[in-house]
Amino acid sequence: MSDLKFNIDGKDISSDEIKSGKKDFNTFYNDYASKTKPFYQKGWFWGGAGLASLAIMATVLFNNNTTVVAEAKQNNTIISNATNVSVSAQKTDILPFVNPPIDGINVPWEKMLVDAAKGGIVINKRGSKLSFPKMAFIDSLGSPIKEGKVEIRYREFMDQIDQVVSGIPMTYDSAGTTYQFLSAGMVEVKGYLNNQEVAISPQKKVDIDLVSNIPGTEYNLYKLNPVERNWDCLGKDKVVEEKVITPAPVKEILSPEQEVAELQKVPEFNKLEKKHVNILSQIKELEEAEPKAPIESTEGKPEMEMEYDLKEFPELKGLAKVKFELSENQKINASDTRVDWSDIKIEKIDDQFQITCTEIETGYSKSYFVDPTYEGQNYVEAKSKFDTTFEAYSKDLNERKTEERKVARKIKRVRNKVLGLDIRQEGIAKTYIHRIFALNSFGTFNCDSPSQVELFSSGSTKVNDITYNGKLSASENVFYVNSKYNTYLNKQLIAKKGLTFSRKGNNFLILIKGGEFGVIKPKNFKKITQKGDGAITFGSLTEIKSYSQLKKQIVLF
Amino acid sequence: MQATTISMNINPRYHQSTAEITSEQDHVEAAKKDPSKFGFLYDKYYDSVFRFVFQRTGDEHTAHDITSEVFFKALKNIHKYEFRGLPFSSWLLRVAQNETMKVFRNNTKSRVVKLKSDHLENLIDEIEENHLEEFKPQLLNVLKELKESDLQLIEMRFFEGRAFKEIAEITEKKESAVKMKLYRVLEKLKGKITI
Repeated sequence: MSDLKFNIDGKDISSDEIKSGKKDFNTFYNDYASKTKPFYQKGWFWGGAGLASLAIMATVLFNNNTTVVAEAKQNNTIISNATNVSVSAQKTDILPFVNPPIDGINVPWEKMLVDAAKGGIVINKRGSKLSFPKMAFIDSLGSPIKEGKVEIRYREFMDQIDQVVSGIPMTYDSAGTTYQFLSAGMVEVKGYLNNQEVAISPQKKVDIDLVSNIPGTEYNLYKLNPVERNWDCLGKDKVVEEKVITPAPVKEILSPEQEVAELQKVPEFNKLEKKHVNILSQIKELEEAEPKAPIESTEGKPEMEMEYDLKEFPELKGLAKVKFELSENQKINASDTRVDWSDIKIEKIDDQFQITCTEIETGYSKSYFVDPTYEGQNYVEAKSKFDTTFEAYSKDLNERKTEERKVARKIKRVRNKVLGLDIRQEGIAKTYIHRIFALNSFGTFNCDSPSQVELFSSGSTKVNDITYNGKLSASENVFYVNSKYNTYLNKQLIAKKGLTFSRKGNNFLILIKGGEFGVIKPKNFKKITQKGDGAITFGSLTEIKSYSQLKKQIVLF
Repeated sequence: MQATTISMNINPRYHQSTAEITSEQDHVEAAKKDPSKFGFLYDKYYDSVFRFVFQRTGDEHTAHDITSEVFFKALKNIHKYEFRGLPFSSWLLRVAQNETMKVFRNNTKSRVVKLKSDHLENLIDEIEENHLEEFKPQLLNVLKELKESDLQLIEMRFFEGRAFKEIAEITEKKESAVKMKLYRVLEKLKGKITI
């Protein structure tokens, strides 16, 4: 009771003042009759038949569709039921706040029983949990329901298609500004005893644990207020993340030979293996050809100085600036320095150079291991050239190695998948988002983040004609949904300025006309916006037979 | 402690003769058959229902809206009303209480308690022998901490001057249970006030 206010010795109100604000009974009774005459005492009004009648009359009144009028006139029941609704609708000139666009199609209810006296917990097929305390219900007169099983009717609107078929508006007016709701989950819950609607006792609260697909704490909890034609903000929900690991299925353990045999049956694995072998071979070749850094000559170290005519030995041109120092432990015979060698051969043996000198006339030959070195400016130039070469080499090698690791990871993934190794070790992990809140009344509740429409209006295109099967359609029959945003836009989307849309995610346009629908999928949506001639064409429409059929045919993700 | 010893204003709408109550029942039966005959009951009890709602909302406009809704619900459900020899107003006020609480639950209005200074003094007398002016602010704070059902008992008994019998009918409890409950609430208040 923290928001309790005391009014002490405030102004008393006289009977005359009360009378001045009171409706006379005739006015009261006329209002009452216009709202209830055909429906009072009839719970079915808010069920399918009542809504169907309402939807049909709404079509008659606002679309001025003469065909439907003619059909309606042929159906006495519809006309009879709808007459009083039409009076009300003509007065206010507005459609019902919750206005399912497809007659007879909506998110199906799940029905669960709760003992009125004891309370209890019911869990829906998605795992959401509703906890009712004992003596949680009251009847329409406010009397506690002390016995019997209360039937809980519950349904969830988790994606854009659910929202569209429900006809629940996803807009929120606050201080004169209209926001678009982005939903993290919406539920509708009602209670019935003997087919009579019941309410939650003022002293009781029902805890809802909604399994959501969407994380984040930016969402508030709102309750649909059809009387005010808006949503009432009830505060924040509580968000809990739950990681569930499903135990690994028991799978046969294969021998190495069996594993290879299993893997070789998988084309993707074979392809990756071949690619992997190629890359490893390239890496090996590169590593073997690694450029060697030049060695700077050491002053005083013995060297082999050769004088030769480049015309005779053109292959030695590249070594013109190289000095060959004798490798460690190499000694030169003094007599060899006096020989006039007629042939010389330089070869690389392992990492060392060997020079073999031959005197042809005598056949005398001598070999020395040497280190090619550079002196002074020659060294600087050789070093600079090496640096450039080595940089290119390193880059090439690293790229190959990165590619190798990538392919190796893919191979591991395919191998684990084929052999079920990851699951065997860790099980299957999945994170669930729970949105937890308490209700003190039945109704429609939405975990929402109000956003400016501009958030998902990064693109726009003009709209001249919306057609299906060669006929013109009103823009009110078109719903825009985007895979990135859990909401839909309808009337607020297609204004005089044209169609606004998000350039992110997959865009869909859904046309609902009578009992049929058409879809413009992302590829065609892109074509329309690129063409920009203002023509939105749906082609032939498909009959809507059921909610599940619609969900199967419009796959958003 | 005797919670019944304080002097209370008589609620003229509640205290009716058997003949008046029986005659009223004829109007209820007529309205059950033909809702347009509900006018007698509407006119007779509009003032009472309005005052009940106004006491809890403090806002004339809201009180008229809720009162209309109360009569709307009452007429819609009048076929369920069972005559038990009590004034029709008890049933109406039960509906009014539910409708008013619904408004607070939906967070559209703040709960208001309208009272006179002497009502508060009566309550202080009831829970403490010595009349202490200093008790008033503390008592208001303690009242804020009460459960809604406890506050309503205090409100109906001390601030609206209703008889135990009428409170029992509005809250759908036995008269003895109401007395016991009120006694416990007063004890609770006493326990929380420390001077």
